[in-house]
Amino acid sequence: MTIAAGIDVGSGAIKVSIYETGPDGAETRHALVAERIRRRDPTVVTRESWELALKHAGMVAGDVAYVATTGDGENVPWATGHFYGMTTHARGALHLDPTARAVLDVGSLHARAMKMDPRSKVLKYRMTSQCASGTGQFVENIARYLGVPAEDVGARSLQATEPEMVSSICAVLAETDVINMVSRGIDTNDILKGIHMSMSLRFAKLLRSVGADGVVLITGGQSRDVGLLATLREALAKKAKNLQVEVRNHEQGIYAGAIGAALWGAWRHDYLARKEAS
Amino acid sequence: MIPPSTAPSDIVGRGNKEGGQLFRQWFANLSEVAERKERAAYVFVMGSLNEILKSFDMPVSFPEINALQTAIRRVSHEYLDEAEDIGYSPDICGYVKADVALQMRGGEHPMGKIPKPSMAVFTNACNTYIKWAEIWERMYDIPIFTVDIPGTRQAGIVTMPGQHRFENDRRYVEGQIRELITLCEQVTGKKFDIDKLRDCMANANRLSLAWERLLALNRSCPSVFNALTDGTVYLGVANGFRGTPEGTAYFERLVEEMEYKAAHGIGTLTEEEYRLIFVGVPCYPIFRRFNEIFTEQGGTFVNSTYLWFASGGTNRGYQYDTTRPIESLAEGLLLSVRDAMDSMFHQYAMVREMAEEYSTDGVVFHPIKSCRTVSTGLADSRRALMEETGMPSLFIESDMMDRRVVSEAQLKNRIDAFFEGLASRKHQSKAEGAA
Amino acid sequence: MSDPASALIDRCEAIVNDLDHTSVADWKRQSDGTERKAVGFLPVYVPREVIHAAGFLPVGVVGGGDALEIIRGDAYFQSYICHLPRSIIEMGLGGKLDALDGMIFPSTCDVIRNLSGMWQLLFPDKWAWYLDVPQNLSPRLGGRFYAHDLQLMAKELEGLGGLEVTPERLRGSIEVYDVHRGITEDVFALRREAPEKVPTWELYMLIRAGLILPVEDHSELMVEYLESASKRTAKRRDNPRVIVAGAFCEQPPMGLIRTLERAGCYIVEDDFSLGQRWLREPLRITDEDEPFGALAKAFLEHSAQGATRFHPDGEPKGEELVRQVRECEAEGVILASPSFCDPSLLDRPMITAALDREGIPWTGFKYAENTGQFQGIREQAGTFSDSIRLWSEAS
Repeated sequence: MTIAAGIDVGSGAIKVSIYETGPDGAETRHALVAERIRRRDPTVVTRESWELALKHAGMVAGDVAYVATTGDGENVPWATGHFYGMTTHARGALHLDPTARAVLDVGSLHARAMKMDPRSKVLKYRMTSQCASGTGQFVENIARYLGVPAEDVGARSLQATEPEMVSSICAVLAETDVINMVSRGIDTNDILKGIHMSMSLRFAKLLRSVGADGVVLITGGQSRDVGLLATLREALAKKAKNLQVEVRNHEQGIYAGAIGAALWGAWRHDYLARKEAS
Repeated sequence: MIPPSTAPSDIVGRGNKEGGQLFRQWFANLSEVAERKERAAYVFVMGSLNEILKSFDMPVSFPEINALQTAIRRVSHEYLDEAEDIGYSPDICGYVKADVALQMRGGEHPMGKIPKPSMAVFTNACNTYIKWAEIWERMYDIPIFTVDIPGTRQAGIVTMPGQHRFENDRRYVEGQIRELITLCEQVTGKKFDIDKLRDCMANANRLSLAWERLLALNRSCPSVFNALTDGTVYLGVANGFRGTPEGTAYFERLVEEMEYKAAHGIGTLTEEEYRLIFVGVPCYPIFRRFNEIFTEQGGTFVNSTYLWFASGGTNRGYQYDTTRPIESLAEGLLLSVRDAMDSMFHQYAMVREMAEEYSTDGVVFHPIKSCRTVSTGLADSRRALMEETGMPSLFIESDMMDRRVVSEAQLKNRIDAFFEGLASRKHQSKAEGAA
Repeated sequence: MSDPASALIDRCEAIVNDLDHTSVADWKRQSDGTERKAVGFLPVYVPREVIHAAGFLPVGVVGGGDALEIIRGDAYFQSYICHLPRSIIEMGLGGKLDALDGMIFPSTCDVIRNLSGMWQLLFPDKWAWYLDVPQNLSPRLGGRFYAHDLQLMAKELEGLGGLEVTPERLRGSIEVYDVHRGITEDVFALRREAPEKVPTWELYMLIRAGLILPVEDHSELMVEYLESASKRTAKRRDNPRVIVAGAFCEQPPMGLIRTLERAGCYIVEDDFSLGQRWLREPLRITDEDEPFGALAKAFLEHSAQGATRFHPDGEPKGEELVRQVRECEAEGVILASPSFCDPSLLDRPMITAALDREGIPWTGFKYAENTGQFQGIREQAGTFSDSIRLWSEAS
């Protein structure tokens, strides 16, 4: 039995997971914590989230055999090792949905698509460019501007009747588009769906470029956005008829990076122990 | 043997014709060597040591010439792609890549078949030569030999025979030539024959003299050959046939032709409007077309640094003293190759002199992606030339091998603008002359 | 808790980042009002012993990195060339090298050889010297030639106002550099043994400062660092041990080195400072040894196997790197080459072939000294680090 933790330091939130793995491949969850940073010192938020996770798990730091960081967590002082975000999201996605063969990770400042094998080895990946358009932060800014609580964005988008697409190229232009729409009296739901549609166009392109095939799991901060899920399915049905993909989301998709880090940490701990023993 | 000319009408143009024939013959000979599964010594244009190799009757192959021929025959991209596929960077010398691909193809070349190397001899005139030879050494397990030619330590300070510093460098070169002779004996299994070397050196002497004379003849107005296009044909023969009777005969006949043209005022264009100097390596992927963009506007190249460095400094016309062959070979090699290096590394003063001696209207600087050896410093030379002499100049970039970075339309725009400047300058000076 | 090693690195950083070479100008001014002289040299290898023996300060010039905006330098070069000469010209034109009384350009590559000519054209009042290191490696020929060439250079330095480089003085300087070589290797050994105590970006700064500081001061600084860093109690992480190779001339920006480390790699060997570690053995010179000859002999027999040195021996390229991997217990190699760097890039296919033969994982990229975006490199290095730890065994 190996207990390992994963700490995913994102630009919007800190996610922590504690897992226990068994020799039979069992993966037991002990804690999942997500904490928004909200202009606080990320190192402080990381420490607090870590302590909270230990508390949820009823453990002390010494109980955890391997602390794996991911995301921007390279400098967490108590970590044992660090894994790159792509590796951990793939592993986390596989844990959440064993049938997943591709991942779309939509974080607050970036999005990336990966194709993976049944062991979660990343075979091909693509990222969006530097521009924040079509990522979590962007949706949040627009929602704030429209006075819609972040958690309602998805549901409101689903109720749209006459959505209007916004510029999908540039965050600044897209925001101007939205201001324009508001002044033209376009319904808030339609604006939100318009944003989701433009995001989905980019994501469909990413997925096509990695040759995604089969089940695609959305992970990251935007994984719970049902509006995005719906438009992405529409976009893929329209634009990629030859792609046999099924996009899914998961309640715990936001933790995928932290979960993957913990599971890889546990694997690595066992491997190093075996190596030492031999 | 080439028959002696009979009528003057036979003279004009025979240099290019005979040069072409010799070159086809050259590749045919190489193909025969390859078919017999025999090997050739691989050598380079800057310090080929042909005198030594020919004295051992070794067939020689010039990988640079093989490579540029793939560009002229418009297939270089196939070779470049193959080398890049195995990890050679797009950034580096296209000649190396074409050759690597040629080796991988077992010598298959648009002009025939290139034999594998028996050994490689190269100087440090280009550092890439050394890296290149290291590739063959590992590929074929053959001996490779660097002839390290000391360069100019301080630009502008040229040491000469008799001076302590020069003699020290010369002794170093001489020692290496002696090592090379031993190596050739091992590779060929033949005993070194100093009289044969003397013969080769005597032939090289006549060729060097002719080469120097040839370049000088282009000072005449109109110029008698185009340094970029015709010059490249001559250069090929000068390198490939250096030290051989065929090479000597060819050049002596060529000089005869050019003297005839000079005496009769026969130029290369209907009207020679602008006399230009070319600095750098030609744009082989569009070799003819590149030149046409200039000639269409009345511009012709009267000289180039290419004819200097790519002939290994033969332009100096150095004459070996065959009574002390090895010492003299070392001295000649040092002077010539050092001169070739200087015309790449410290070319400013040479270009300025060339511009004066050849009544030049403008200088074309042509740096290329492939080669930092010849391209670094060109922008600075141009700046110095313009500041000091006000000489009009053009700075255009492309490549000698890689057509992906050769944009004919862009080149033409720049060249057109250059000629507009030349025209208005001419107009102005005419107006001033009239006033 | 104060960490003396960190404070030392801060000092080094200040020296390295001072592109105006204020510390050199300070060194030159003597209390009695007279001035000493300083001579710059370009990568990769120049025997600093000779400059030192002439009473001059040898100063390594490796470009302005990402801190220098290139305004004029670009106008002096074609597009297809590495970044180093642009920034060195920029520094020269901007007066940042005014403290240097001369410059030595070694025969590293054709760009640097060419730069020696440009330098003379641009700065006719400054002494410039092309140091032709031998490509013939027999003691009788290359060795003798090189020893003579060093004597020639010593004479030149003397003409520039330096002390006569007598055998005694040169022997003394060789001894000073022997000490320096020994300590340098000790620092690298500590990093190899405990990379968590000696982060590469720190080591890099420490060694870079040695290009500017007087050798005696730098030796002292390294001893202090070594003492302090070895006492550190940092936790060793589960990071793969890698070697960075190919970056021996134009230097990567600091951000790039940090990015590699942040991506989870312990760099246990690198060739950023190949020139300073060129002679792999102390010369251990005696009073009977002719010192120029000893320097030449060391060059022929104990040079690092860099891409800028001719290798006639037929040993497969990359074997040296493979040996290093074994010796350092490295798990992978990161090949980092400056764009348009002929020596580094020309060697790469043979090196990767050697690594592949040995089953050593590698990844490669190109950079420039002013590369500003590290996201791509971070991704690449991060994926590489993961693949070493997870997939080389799991698959």
